[in-house]
Amino acid sequence: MMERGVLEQLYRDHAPAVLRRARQILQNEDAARDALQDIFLALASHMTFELRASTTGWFYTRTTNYCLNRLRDERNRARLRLERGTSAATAAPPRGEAVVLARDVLAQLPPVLAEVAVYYYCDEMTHDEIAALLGCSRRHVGHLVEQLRRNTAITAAEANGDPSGDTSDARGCG
Amino acid sequence: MTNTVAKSADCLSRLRIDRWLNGELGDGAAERAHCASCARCAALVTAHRDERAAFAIPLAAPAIAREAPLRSRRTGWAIGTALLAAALCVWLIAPPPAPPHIVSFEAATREKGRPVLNLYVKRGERIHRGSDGERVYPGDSLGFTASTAEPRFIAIISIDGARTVSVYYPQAAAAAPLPAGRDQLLPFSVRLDGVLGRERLHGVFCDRAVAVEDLRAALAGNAAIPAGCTVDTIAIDKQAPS
Repeated sequence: MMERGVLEQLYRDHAPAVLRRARQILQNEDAARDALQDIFLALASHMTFELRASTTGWFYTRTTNYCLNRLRDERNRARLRLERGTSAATAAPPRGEAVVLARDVLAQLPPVLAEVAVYYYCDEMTHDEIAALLGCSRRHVGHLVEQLRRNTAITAAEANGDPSGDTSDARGCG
Repeated sequence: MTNTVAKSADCLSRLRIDRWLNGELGDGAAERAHCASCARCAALVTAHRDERAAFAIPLAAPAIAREAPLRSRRTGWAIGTALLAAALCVWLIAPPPAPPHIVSFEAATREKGRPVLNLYVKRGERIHRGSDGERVYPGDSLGFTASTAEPRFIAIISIDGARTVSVYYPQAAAAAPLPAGRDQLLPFSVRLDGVLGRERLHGVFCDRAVAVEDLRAALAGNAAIPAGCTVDTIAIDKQAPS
């Protein structure tokens, strides 16, 4: 078992961000709190946790993947219950300069695009930061962002000519 | 939360703010300098600080860790009698830093679109990602993650140089459910025993809960791989410590 003190330190440092992001992705307070507890309690059985500079990034990745998996599982269960076909969910319409990512939009995206959507729109990460979390090139992140835009038909006002690929308009996550 | 304030290319992402507040960015001089001239980022940092100060949800008490058998082959201990008082040996793995060379996400899958098994090696207190042909030593512990674009059922089966076939995961009659997702940590680990030589670790991904015994028989060469299953294999080379 991980020492309680170590776990509590990790919780103090990272739980607020885990909960914030779980709320953004799951858009449900109870589900977000479940995610918070599940993510940290899963650490309790670990013998050691080697703290590294990318510990925050690890929690970002873990939270994102946990929540996206939960959305997909919920969507699959709902689909099986209702015995519906696979009609595509409607992308959330833009609201002025801000865009809301609906749960069903995230749930139906391919896993890597859903992950990029969270990092790009919810966390407002740069392409470099997303590339570091995904372990791929910045250029590939650019391709994924373009693919994401095509898939979701999300439109936003973006500044042109930004060499980093970042936009001047922020996007929220609901 | 919807944020409609315009941001510039220099503005801080939420990740960067959290890393700064967690002390991962040195003295944070660059971040402080930016916030001094950016109302948007200054407000966002304040919001992050306030969020931390207001956070009041306690961590639930962890359940007592279940005892897990030490998977040690040919050590004279039958699995049924080798239960230890240690917790399940699953450990956390921090994501590796971005490689200096260009890495395509597609290249991370050994064949585009196929499920992928990844290996991690724990030696002492250090953990690193293993690759095909990885050199390992007795006493090392192995952990695994799996990535799949579609929900699958997974089993991990090992064949060593003596063609001994061992089921590492799951300890159940059928392959375990694996939701779609990337780098999902599998809830088990293996501590390597003293038997040396080449070992092949087969990750079998099926579209249904195939019986583990059927997969074991197939990989032992006694039957065909069931339809609807794909295999991703990682070889390790277990050597004596130098």
